[in-house]
Amino acid sequence: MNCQEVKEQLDAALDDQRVVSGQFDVVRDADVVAHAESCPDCRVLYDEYLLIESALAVWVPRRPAVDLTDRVIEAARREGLISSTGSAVFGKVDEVGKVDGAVPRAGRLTSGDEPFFLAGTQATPAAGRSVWPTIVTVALVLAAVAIVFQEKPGTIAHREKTPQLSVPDSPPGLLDPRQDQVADIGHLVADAQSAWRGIANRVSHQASGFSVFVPNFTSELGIADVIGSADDNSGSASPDDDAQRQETSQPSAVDKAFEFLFDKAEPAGTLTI
Amino acid sequence: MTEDVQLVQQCLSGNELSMRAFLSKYQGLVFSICLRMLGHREDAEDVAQDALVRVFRNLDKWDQQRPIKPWLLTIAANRCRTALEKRSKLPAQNDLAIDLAAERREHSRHEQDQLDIGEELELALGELREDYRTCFVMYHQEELSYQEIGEVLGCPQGTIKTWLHRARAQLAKRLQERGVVADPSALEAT
Repeated sequence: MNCQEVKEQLDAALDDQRVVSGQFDVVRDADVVAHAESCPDCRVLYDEYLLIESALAVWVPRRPAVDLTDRVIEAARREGLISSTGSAVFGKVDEVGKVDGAVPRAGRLTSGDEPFFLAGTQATPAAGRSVWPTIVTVALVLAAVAIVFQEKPGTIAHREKTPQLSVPDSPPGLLDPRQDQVADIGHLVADAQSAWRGIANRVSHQASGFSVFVPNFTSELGIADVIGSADDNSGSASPDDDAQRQETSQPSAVDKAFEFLFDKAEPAGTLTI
Repeated sequence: MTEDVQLVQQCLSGNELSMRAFLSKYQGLVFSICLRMLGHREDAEDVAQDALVRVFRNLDKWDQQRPIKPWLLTIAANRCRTALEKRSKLPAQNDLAIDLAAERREHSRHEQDQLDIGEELELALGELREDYRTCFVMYHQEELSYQEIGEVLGCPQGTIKTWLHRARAQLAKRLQERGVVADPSALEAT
């Protein structure tokens, strides 16, 4: 082993020494020791190596205690590096994040700084306080409106909640078949009248721009009364009275309706049909 | 995702709590290297503060695939070099050396004993050239590699190796000058 090899081996051994992780690799190679014993230059190197090696073995590196946290946070706040909303502010340092009225003062927060409150692991600036009351107020108003509409008669919620009165079906034997016929005819006339009025109005409007007045002969002829009475009496009236009434009203109503349609339709407005 | 990456991402969102956590974790490292390089506590505090603000300002530029420690030390070392250039003269004595010397006098007065060899090393470190000292501390204390130290200090690896070798040699000579001898028991204990 020559001097260069001894020097390289000693350097490599020191390179392997890491104080924090406690890795030490002391050279105990017999060739190195033997060469150092016989070579004065290498003996000096070997002694230096042993000295540094033993010093590093007990060296506790000094890391002086320091707390620059408030100073750095303050400086970062002045530069707008701390977001007031938690969103990214980097790249917009000059435009956003300036703390109004904040007087730089090392070591502690200034009186002009915004106080912070904590939400979980996130820090939310006090600017958030102006948002939450609004959200809570809106939520309360919506809840109140929902309660009012829920109880108001006529709403869907109310109808769903209101128990429906159950009307028992009329026993088939108690209902005069003629009553059904009267009611059916009355509905038929009413439907025909509605359709007729609609068609007449639409055709005339498309043809000439005029609207046509077609009288509501259902009410004029008392058909509605017939229908209503038939509907009202179905299942609940006395069979004898109903039969007598319907026997007299049914033919005359139908006759009157057709008579009105073909013979007694009077002109109304400017156009006569 | 490493703990550092997660912490940095929270800092990037401007979260003050995360930034405080980041400072709690790394301000000692930054301040330590500033104090080693500048040798003056108040200057080191000012430069460390400046460096840490720069860290937050440029946090989005950190390559998250690489360790953050060399990146932090690079910023701190750059700020220290700038401060050293501005300084008209270097301090006559390192603050750490002053502290240790005071401790030594106190210790000698009461114990009439020799300083621990580790403390002697600390004292000798304060008398080293700044670049040698920085190189030694980054290698043996912060456990950076030659390549990482080269990147931090902006020097080739060969230069770092040379500086480290010279630092060890000078430390050994200073220890010998103080009458410190190798303690075989320390080596045996390891």
